[in-house]
Amino acid sequence: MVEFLQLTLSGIVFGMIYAAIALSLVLIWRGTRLLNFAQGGMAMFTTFVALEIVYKTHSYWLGFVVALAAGLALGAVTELTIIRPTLNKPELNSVIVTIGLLVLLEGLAGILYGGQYRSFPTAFSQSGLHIGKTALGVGRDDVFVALAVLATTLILAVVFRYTSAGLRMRAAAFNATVARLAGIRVARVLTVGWALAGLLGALAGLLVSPSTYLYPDSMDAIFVYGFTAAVLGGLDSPAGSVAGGVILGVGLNYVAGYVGGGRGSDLESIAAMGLLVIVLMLRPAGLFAGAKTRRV
Amino acid sequence: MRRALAGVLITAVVVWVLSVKLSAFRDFQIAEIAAYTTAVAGLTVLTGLSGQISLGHGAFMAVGAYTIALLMLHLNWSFYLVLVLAGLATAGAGAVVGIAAARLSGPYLAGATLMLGIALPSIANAYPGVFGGEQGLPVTLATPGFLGVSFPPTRWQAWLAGAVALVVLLALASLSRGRVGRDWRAVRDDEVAAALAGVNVARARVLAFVISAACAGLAGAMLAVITNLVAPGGYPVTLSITLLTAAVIGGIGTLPGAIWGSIVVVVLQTYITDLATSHGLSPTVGANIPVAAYGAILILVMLVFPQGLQGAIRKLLTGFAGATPLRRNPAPDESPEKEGTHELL
Amino acid sequence: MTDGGITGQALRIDGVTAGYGEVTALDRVTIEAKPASITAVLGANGAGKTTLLRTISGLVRARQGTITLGEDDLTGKTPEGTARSGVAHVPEGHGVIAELTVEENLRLGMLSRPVPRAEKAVRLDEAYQRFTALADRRRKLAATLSGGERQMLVIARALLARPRLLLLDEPSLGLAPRVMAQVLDLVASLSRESGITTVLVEQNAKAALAIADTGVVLNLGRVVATARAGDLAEDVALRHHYLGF
Repeated sequence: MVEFLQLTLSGIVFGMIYAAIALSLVLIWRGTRLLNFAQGGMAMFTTFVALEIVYKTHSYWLGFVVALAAGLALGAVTELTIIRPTLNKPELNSVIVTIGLLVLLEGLAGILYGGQYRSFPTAFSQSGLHIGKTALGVGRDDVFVALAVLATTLILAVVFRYTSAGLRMRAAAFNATVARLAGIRVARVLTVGWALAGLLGALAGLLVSPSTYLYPDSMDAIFVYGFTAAVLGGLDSPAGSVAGGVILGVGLNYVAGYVGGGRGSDLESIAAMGLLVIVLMLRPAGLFAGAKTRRV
Repeated sequence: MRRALAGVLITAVVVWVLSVKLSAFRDFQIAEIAAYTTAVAGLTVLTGLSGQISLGHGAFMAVGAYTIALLMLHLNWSFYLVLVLAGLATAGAGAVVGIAAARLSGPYLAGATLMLGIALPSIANAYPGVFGGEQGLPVTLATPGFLGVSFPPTRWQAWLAGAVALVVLLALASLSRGRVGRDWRAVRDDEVAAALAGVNVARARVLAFVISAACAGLAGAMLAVITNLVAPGGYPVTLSITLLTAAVIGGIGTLPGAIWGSIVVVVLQTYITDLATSHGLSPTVGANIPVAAYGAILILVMLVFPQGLQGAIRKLLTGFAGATPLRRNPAPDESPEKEGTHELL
Repeated sequence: MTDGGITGQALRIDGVTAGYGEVTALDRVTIEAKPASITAVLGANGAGKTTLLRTISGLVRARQGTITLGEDDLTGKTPEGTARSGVAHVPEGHGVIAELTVEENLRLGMLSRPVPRAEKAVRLDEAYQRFTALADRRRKLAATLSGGERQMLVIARALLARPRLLLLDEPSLGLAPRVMAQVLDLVASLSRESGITTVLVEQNAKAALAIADTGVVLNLGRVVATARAGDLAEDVALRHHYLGF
């Protein structure tokens, strides 16, 4: 019973990280109908940048902030330089271009920072929290992780729903023609969307790297899980991303914990893939797809 | 078809000459290029002709490699039989994946296949008793007796790999000129129209997966033979992406492009690593420069020259050749800008 | 309705040629719309009427010719650009963003130029007073509105921008006759009150000519007739040949 609680709680924490990636993918998907395969790579790169800052200045928070800023910048630059030219071309082009960016970033990281697994600091202590005598399986830092993602999600939701800028972004995503006729600079909105996605990815990278260690390929699996979470929740739904992330995080944790023989953790990715395939075959619009369909 | 046969014969002669004249290491590279060509040809047909993106073909190579390793380890059957079985086993895996993916397209398909590429090799780590764990399984192939005792094994492997590649290329060329190829192109261009015209869309798509997986399986098996090893570390995501890079550089959807792309990718890798070490850069850096280069190349090719090398060659030869059978539709970037439409290649 | 100082301006379309790919949809079209007037653009399907509006608002690029509104040159501007210059284009069929609420759709109308918060509230209030059906539904999704209500919404949104030029593409499309009459009456009275220069594309030529000052008839991308609306309505030969009544 205690193990169940621990697995559930730590699963939720991981789930929040998948949710962050899922959110960044959903942001871009709603705006441009593209899947940004480089999202994990961008997150890895900005985390390396943070690591450099942390080493040089011994300040975690400075590294944190710089990584987020770098995420914003990287997202915007990516959209402006390599995504914009592919917008009216066949889908394959944008897939290949984002894969190219992923590989380029991984190669660059290998060149600049080497291939070894680097440890990344946490914001707060990792020592386990307890209720009475029961170990909860999560530490202070894990609570921070969950809250950070939740807070960011809420802030974004508020911005989208209640500000003019948010209205512009939603209008541009739902109907670019009408938006342009209303004077909205759709191209600029696109860039902002990618910048925000870059920020979310950077956040995910910072939060997960202490557990996975940091190396050029470290975000590959996280990206794929984030993608799965996004599909689970429905690629059009930000709320679905969070729900999908939590479900996936908890589910994978159960697989890792309960599947016997210690092979649970190796089988996590197979389990995730199985879940993805099942959802895509049975409910491709996501588990929470409502009646809303996107007007073409 | 006659042109394809002629091309294959010429290539066979070239490979034979090169394998005799060049060093053992070059023979190894020829074999490597041949193996890659086999896989890339399957992938380029899947993505370019039937319009299905796969970012996980490395996983199929792993299936072929592990199958041949296990069969050779536990059974004493003829190599050729075992090779065919490896291809068939991978074709089976391709069928499973193809069926699961039949209704997916675009980014969903890409994401799902990416996941396949990441997840499948980890099975080997989960069941080390069967699959040899991190260390992997050894694969050895004896040079046939009739060649004589002092015949260099690398040359034999180059011939073998080359033969497999050429047979596969011929088979794919024949398929693509026939009804199967026509069906694939129809499904790629417009599923609804194809279905209305009587094409069984799902079957065409699954068939494309089966065939391209079989090619990858054969390639994986050959690669295991020439490297004498199959281990999970040999099938990272980068492998799947390298295959895609080769297909794109060579010209997606074109069979000669599979050859050009494979040459570029294999030679680039060795050349850059050599360059790096000779300049005193660490081996990690040296190993990563080709990776970064692939990324940059993918981006540049897609933005500037989406038809790849074969496209360039064909442009040069226009006026000589006439209609090229593999591609009757606009090349990737030539479709006119349409507001709001996203077409699959 | 207080207009906050809008005066309509003259629209001059001079020798404009435009099209899609190989197809030429407009061939050296010249039209002049006087300030504060309503110009009806008529013709059969495929005559180029919709392309005309899209070229004015910038969705389609003119290959030749110029378009000016008052002192401003609109030629070659993007849709965002013409919107900022005071052009409100209500496209055929989909002017409403169904996934947004009624109020959010209305607010879209005030994004093209900076409008202070207080002024936004004032304009919104006016819009709700005039269009009570919208006021009742302000927090509902636009998807829940009927066809006629959507047209109201779209026109209300266009007006919130205080445009200098209003382009309406088939506002009566898909509406019941009674509703259609209401919409066209609305257009007529709005134009008179606020003096916005209006270009109205309509299939229903008779109804359009009834409210318009000038009529322009297009056929296969060319202007075949320009006259006072009353005169056009009485020209039986023309009516039969191009307009179907």
